[in-house]
This record gives sequence, structure tokens and C-alpha cells, in this order.
Amino acid sequence: MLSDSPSAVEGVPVDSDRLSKLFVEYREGLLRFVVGVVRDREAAKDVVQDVFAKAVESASEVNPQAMKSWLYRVAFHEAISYKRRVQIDQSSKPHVAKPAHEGSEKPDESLVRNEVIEEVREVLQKLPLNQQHVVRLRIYEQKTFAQIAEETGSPLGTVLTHMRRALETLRQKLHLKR
Amino acid sequence: MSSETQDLNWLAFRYVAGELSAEEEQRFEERLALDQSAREAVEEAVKLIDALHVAAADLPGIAASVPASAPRIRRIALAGSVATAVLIGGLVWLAWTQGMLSRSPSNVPIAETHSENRSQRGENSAGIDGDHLLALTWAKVHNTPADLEAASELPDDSLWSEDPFDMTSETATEESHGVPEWLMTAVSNRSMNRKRNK
Repeated sequence: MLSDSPSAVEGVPVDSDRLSKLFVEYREGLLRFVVGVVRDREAAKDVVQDVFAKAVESASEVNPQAMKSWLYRVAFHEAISYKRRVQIDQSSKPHVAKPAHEGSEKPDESLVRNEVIEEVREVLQKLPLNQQHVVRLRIYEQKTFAQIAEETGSPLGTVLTHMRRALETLRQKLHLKR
Repeated sequence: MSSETQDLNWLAFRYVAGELSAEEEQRFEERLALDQSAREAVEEAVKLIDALHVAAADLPGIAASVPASAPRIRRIALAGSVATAVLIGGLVWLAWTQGMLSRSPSNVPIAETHSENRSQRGENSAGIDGDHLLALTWAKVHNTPADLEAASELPDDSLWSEDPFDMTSETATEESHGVPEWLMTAVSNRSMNRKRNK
């Protein structure tokens, strides 16, 4: 029986050609997804490496049409396991306050295409100033929405609306898949 | 774009940004375990944030308020420019020195004067003549460019070259079909183990 479960039984190892295609097609997307979950780029690389190690073992058991979903699901399970381990480690040590998004804010520029950067730049410049301001404070100065609201004297809901509208505009103009 | 998709995108962005409450985060992670569209929304959120980060760096009004840690690349580029300028200066000086020493009619008095000065200062006048001095200078300058060249390269490139996902890295050039060596080794080891077990 074909399965897309991450705990698929060990099967015939996937051949190198197929593995190559999987690696080239999905590695960047998986890396971004795992960064979103673990919020640590270095750890995300390790997690994605583990995902492909699992693919060596089990990918041949997976329906090719379900491959993307299978890889992302394995990645999620690996990422959550990592996250839980870190949380346990941190809870056993003296508490040091860290921003929730620490480690996720420094982009890996090699994963951002030049044309995307140019497009984003153009769209950013055309956004209303209040939206630009919130984007700058949130993305660039890494302030929380609560801090931005306090700093600008705007209600939190207004700050969130500015950010959400800015992101929607960016998505539409950039023709992102979603 | 449907409002449902917009809601999911916004939720994914807040998740990635660490702006969900503990309860919301737990609920969203339960959804991530089951819902591929939610997983892709997270991926897109990271993509958008990364692009914003990079793109916003040069925008007027944004660049001015960049935190000290952010314009690392620009600082490195400046250091690289300074190193390159020093290198060029050194080479120009070397060329000038070489030109002066090779012009025999006019360089003799200068060389003699230098030699006399060295003798007066008690330096090793016997061992260091004009050619030797030139050779020493060349060796000194010749050693420097490698360091300067290394220093003038953006360190981020070297960091990225260690990135297992960077297909332009040294590791990647050793890869077949774009797959890292470790992955190919894992495939072949797995095949051998299976054959052995049969």
C-alpha cells in the first residue's frame, strides 16, 4: 500500500535521479517552511537534512503525487520535535527572555531572487506611508505590533490592519502563489 | 484571493513573526500537521519576510533607521573597498619603485645615497643592495595581496559557500545532479546494506 505517512515502513531506497529531482525541487521551499516553524535558520538546515535522509529511506513508498505533501509533513514533524527539544532545554535552564522570532529575522539572501527583491522594492515604495512605516518597524526594526502601537500612539488593531493590508498588496503585486 | 486564503496568510505571517498567543500557536501547529495549504502559507510568509528584509535595506527612510547589526554587508563591502585601495596603492608604489630603480642613469645616485644612509645607520649595507631591497619589497607586497584579496571578499559569500543548500558552493560542485555528497552516500550505503541483508 502506498502511504504518505511520515512513519512509512522502510522500503526500497529512492533512486538517486529521483532523489536529485526532489532535492532540487523542494529544498528551498522546505527550508523556508522549517525556518517558519523553528525560527532558527541554522537549525532549519539540519532539520531539512534530516528530512532528505528520511526520504532516502522511505520516499520510494510514497505516491509521487503526494510527494510534496509527504516531504512537508515529515519536515513539520522533524521541526516540531526540534522545537520541543529546545523548549525542554530552555525550561531546564535559567530563564532568559528572548523574542519569539529570534533567529528568524536574518534572511538568507541566497534564497531571495534578485527579481523578487526589485519587485518588492517597487511595491514597498508605492505603499501608503502609514503602511510603509509599520512594515519598517515590524520587519526591519523587529518591533512587536504591541510596541509599534505604543510607539506610534495608534490602536493595536490599526497597526495590525496596516500590516495586513501591506502584506496583501505585496502578495497581489508579486503574484505569489497563495 | 478569497478571504479564507487571506485569513490563512495573515495567520501564517503572525505565526512566523511569533505574534500568536500560546493557544493560537498550538492550534495553528495542529493545523500544520494536517493541512498542506497551511504549510505552504508558512513557507510563503517566510519568503515574503525575507524579500522585505532584503528589499527594504536600500529604501530611503528605511535604510536610515536600520539597526546597527543590519547593514553588515555594507560595512564588509566598505572594508573590502579599503583593502582593495591599499592593495592598488601598494602595487602602484611597487611599480613606481621598480621604475625608479630600473632607470639606470638617474637611479644610481639614489641607490648610492640609500646605501650610504644605511651604512651611516649601521644597517647591513653589504646584504641589502637595490635589487635585494626590491626583491624583499616584492616578497612583502606579493604576500599581502592574498590576504587583502581574501579580506576584500564578502564574508557572506564564504558563509554561504558552507551552506548545504547553496548550489554554487564548493560542496555543490562535487555533487552529482545537485544532490549533496552525503545524500548520495546515504543512498548507496542503503542499497549495499539491503543487498547484504538479502
